[in-house]
Amino acid sequence: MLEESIGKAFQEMADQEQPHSRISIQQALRDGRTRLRRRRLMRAVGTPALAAAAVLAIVLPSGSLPAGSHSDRPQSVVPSVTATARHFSPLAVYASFGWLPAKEPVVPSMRKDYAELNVWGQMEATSETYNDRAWELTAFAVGRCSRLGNHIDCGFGKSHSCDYDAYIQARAPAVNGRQAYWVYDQGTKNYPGMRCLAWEYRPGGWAYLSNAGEINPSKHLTVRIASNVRFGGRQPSFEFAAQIRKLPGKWQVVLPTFFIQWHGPLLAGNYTITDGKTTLSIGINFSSPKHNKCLGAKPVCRVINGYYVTLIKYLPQTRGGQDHYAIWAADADDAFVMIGEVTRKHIGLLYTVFSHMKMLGGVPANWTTKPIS
Amino acid sequence: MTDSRDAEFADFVASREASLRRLANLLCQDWHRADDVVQAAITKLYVHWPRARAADSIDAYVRAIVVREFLEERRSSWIRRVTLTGQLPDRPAASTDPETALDMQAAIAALPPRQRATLVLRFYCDLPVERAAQVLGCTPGTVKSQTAKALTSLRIALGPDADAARVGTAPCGSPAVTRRGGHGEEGLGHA
Repeated sequence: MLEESIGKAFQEMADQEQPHSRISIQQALRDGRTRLRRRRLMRAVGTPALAAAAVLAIVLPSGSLPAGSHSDRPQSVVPSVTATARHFSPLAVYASFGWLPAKEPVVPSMRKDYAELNVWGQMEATSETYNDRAWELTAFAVGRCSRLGNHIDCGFGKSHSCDYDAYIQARAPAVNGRQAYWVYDQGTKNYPGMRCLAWEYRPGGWAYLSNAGEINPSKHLTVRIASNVRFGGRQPSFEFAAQIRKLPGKWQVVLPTFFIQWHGPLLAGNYTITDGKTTLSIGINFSSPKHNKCLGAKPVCRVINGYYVTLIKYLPQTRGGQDHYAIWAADADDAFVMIGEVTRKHIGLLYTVFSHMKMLGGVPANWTTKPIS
Repeated sequence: MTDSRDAEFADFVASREASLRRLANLLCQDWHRADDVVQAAITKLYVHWPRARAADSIDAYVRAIVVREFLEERRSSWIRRVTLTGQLPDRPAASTDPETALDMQAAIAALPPRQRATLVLRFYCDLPVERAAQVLGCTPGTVKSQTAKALTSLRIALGPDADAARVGTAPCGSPAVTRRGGHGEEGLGHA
């Protein structure tokens, strides 16, 4: 039976000799103590104000940043990339949390504070919380979802717990005057699934809110968070720490993942560009410094615009059995960029893109809202 | 109090490190990433140590953290999913297993992370549907559908030999590599 074969395969993999462990218990103790200290601090100093400040880092418009913020430059709000309820822009936030529970603020500069936005009309924002329960918000562009009886079908997307095959179970309290429903995910006809709140934030535009860590979060709390979600308007745009200049073809950004910086810009940590035929992922990272040096000899490493550019092969989980490749390079600010992932025949494109890329360093004041010019 | 807590935590992690790495490696299909997942998981475990100790089974508790950390990690930075080496690495070293085993491992590695996690919990950890659902934070129905989708994908990938009988399942989450009690397993707190 296939199930037995799977078990056997897992066993064989598990029986493989383990390589040297990089796990550090001492590091876990240090990091764990730091988290506990933060938690106690947040509780001690009056969490509502701090939580509000954390949220402000996401939604405050230009010129409203508190003194002493990470960046002196006002957070940019670019009208030209402002999304509408029907067409979300890949360069600006469309929805954001306006309020989160006091004990669950958005944590500054942690790697899991991110939001994703894609051009197909789904936006997800997740707040990292100290108790590991993240609120997930998904807004679908107008026209992307259809309701037939008790079934709401948004047709695509799997990242949100309740964004597909959701079934209305009961009416929920109105969210800002709009009808809302308690919905459950796939299989809920037979099982008590994960509870989500669904509401039409605009006619034809649905939003979902759930908690990744709790199957049945407090109804009162869920409605309160939903009532404070902000859609459209003056939302901050993403900032990019590199700019691609004069790259032949019509390239555009389609899928940024950003990281929330404490009182600072929304750094696009990862994003995808496409010319309609080829899609490339670009990642920029400051938290894991690499050194500007060559790893390996030619053809693995070459010098482009003064940077040592290293070619790497992607993890074994290749698509369609083909190997995939990426390149990375670091600058003197310990920012490093990675471009990928392509099959062997497109490796040259990676070098071409990098040769047109200007790395803007680790100072937010030098970042740009125009990743491609 | 902190000292005793730390000592207790350190003892527990040291005794479980190998089994946690094994589990994480099955999920990640990569030892480097597996270590990252385990490192993050044990940090969370430390934060929630009092709750973990109060759980019916600390092993089940930490296993849930590892699985959720893996799923969470998959959703974040693209960069961190890439192995950086000094040279172009070759494919994973072939074992002495028959070709079908390699095909099976490759097919499992190619599954979407949530489906792979479901298979690991069901067929490596030997968890019943309800327990797997608790670990994954979803409904039993979703576990069943994820399992069915994964099996279908594997059958397609493996072809006619997919259902060739091979006996054996594996234990999970305990320090010793021995089969556990099976379905009468422990409860689970929030990880």
